[in-house]
Amino acid sequence: MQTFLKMKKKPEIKIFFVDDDPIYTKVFVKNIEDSSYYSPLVKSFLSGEDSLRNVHERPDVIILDYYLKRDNNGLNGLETLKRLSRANPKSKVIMLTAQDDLSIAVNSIKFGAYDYVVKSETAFLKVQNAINNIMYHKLLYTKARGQKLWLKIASAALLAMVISMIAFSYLYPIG
Amino acid sequence: MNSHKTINLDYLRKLARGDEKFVEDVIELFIKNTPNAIRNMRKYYERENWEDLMMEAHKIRPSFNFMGTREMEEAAKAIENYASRQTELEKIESFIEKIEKNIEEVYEELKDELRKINI
Repeated sequence: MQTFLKMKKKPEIKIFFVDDDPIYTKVFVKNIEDSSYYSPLVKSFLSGEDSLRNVHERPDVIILDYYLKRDNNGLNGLETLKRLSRANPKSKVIMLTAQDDLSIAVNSIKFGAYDYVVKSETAFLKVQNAINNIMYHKLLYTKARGQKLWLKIASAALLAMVISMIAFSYLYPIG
Repeated sequence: MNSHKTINLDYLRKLARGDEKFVEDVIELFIKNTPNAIRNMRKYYERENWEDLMMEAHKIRPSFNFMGTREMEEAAKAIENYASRQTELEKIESFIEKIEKNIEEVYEELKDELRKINI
């Protein structure tokens, strides 16, 4: 959290919220959008199919209800999870589950979910914490990648300097 | 301070952070969607379709939580649990009846709240 607070600009994060309950969706999206730590771009979808049609947008985080209704043989939550994980393995999926559903929670992780959160009064806080962790690791990864690049550039420059010195000593020998 | 008997919007207002339009939208969604959800619960119960009953109760429970109707939220939770485990199924009807009996009062208080918001 201290990393976010020190930054001049809040980091952006693209989030999908997939739940067929419009009330829960409205309240949850409001909660995410009011975050103090990051600048979220949130899109909500009422079905697994809709979310899959938009997965090319490469969301950072997908919050997915396990109990999506299967109207007209549509996708349930687990099937949506499997397809989303295949289509975009880099997206972190947080599964929303019901009480006492340990087997469903375990299954969710098995099929690619980053985490699971029970739909209870503490769900908002737990999802916020999960998103904060995802953002923190994303920033660390980006920073490490940037440092690797600088290291490569510095190594190349040093090598070029050594080669130049060797070439110079051949062309203009001392003595 | 809550002036209603069956609802309590303190939690919803806390989530709203001063956004009364948000509160109004959520209340309107609740009034619009809940009748069908309750009818579905009754339908699934009578057809002994326990999986769909469990899902419907699971969906409606957070809405009762947002409206601050604690007893109805507990009733939905009980329906969800019994239908999920398919045990003590004979107890489910009393919880559905409780929701059906009290929901009209909830709608009236919510409509009253909408009138206050729009003044």
